[in-house]
Amino acid sequence: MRFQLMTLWVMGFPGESRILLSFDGKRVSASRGDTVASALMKSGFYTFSRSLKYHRRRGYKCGRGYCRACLVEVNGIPNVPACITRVEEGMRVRSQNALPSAEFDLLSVLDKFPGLVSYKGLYEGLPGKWFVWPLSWRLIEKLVGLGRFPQEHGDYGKGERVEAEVLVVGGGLSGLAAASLLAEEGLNVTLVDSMETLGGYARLDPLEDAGLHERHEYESPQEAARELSRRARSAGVKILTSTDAYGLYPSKNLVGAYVRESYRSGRHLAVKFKYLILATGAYEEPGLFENNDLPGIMYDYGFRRLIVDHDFKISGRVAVVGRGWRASRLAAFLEAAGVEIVGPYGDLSSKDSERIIAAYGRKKVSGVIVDAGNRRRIGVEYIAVAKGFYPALELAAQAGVRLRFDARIGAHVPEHDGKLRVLNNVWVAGSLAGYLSYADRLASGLLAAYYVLVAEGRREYAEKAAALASSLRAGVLMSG
Amino acid sequence: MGKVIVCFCEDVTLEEVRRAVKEGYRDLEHLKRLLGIGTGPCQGKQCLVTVAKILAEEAGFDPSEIRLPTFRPPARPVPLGVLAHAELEEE
Repeated sequence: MRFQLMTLWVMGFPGESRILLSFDGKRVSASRGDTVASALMKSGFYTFSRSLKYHRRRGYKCGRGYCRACLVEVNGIPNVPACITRVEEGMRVRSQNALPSAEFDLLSVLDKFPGLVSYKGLYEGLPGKWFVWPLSWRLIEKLVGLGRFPQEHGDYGKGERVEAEVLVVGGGLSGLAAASLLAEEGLNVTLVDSMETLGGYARLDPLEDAGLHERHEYESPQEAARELSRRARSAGVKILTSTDAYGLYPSKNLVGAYVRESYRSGRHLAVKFKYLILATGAYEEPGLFENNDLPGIMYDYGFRRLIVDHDFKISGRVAVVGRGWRASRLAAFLEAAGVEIVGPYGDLSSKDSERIIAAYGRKKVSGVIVDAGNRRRIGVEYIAVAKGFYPALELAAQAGVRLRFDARIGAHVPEHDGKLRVLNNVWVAGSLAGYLSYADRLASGLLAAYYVLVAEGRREYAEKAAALASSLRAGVLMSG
Repeated sequence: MGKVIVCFCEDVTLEEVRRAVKEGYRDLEHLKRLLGIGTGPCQGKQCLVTVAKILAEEAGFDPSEIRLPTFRPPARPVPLGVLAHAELEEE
């Protein structure tokens, strides 16, 4: 009883509706809007698990479920991405690939002496004898395995089949612009997005954007995201959030998707489409410097999300990595939020005069070494990497779309016919199609929608499309 | 000297990629098989572009000459239970 009272006093009274969970047996208190990742970090746990080979520290990084650095075991279910999993009362969260725990992992000795274990030798069996093979397999599993086998069964429904005239994959600016226009024009539109909230990257950028303001009359990317989400809803777009489109099967006009309901439940979704718009967005380019995998080093989106969605208090300095407009915008965002920053700096991949060549820190990052002719150490609490982004082209590539290297963005993009069309009834838009600025991304979504309308026999849109396409070409040159 | 990690899933370092390119591996598909890049839980979402850039730089290629490895479903991880329970048959 006394213990419980103490707990109430420490964790806050029930009115504040705190949620209690545990991490490797230690108590963690969270608020309702937290993800497992944000809750752990607010309680000072930055190392969630260990890496497969050298048992280096792994934690929160991308903030949207794709980088898989934050995998943990939750109530006996392994490989749960902590950054896109909501906290629930009584969750038992455990670290993975660590002996005995992520904070203190005996196997991290492999990082210091990589020669200690020869994985090749283990695979071939310890010296020669057949009867040691089962042992060496056990050892391999312990050393390089990913989590434990599930201790609980997940709860998966039968799945559903949906027919849509138009399927839009991705609910960022371009996907939302396309979906809302098409629905307003009377088409039956389904939109899937992997996050819980629509709006993509733009949703986390509240600062004014001149191009967006001039060409689309939105003050900020955040406002555009909010406004377009509202429009899509009121136009009757069927919206499925927390849904990962995993496969595109063009011969069947089918997209396979997985609707995540919780860390242990979900269902399959098969969408049969007449037209498909891929607006899957982009992934972030990692920073290249020594110890670039320390906890506390995050991508742009992940860092913004902590502040915007989780009200995460940034104590101490933040080093910003990246030399493009995104790094400048991130720096401005952080300064507006009252966070002290250093940089933006280049990294080992850039020929900048000021580059981060290493991060240091024991349990998480505590500083960076900057090379600017001479080397100096700067103490920082976090490193936010906002280098570049490159198209999430898996679905297009799976379907056999040719990929073309785009020198302007320094990455491959799906090759389209000049009118965003990549297959007979499939179009691309947004950063997937190589558009960089917010204004261009949004406009390319509208343009893809125009082309769909033309394909649907709406002749009046051909002229509009031609006009928008030429302004978009001009816009691309300006923002390149 | 700390490690510069290129593939965070499989702990592949910048050093290892450079060495492999020097040894004559000139194709992302080969580097993938040799080093394991692109085969971890993120399925290449972080490493492929970095490795392509290192390959282009070390081997003196134009980046446009680099072919990306084959992409196959699933593009995002799906629990086997989801596929097992789904009623997928058609017609």
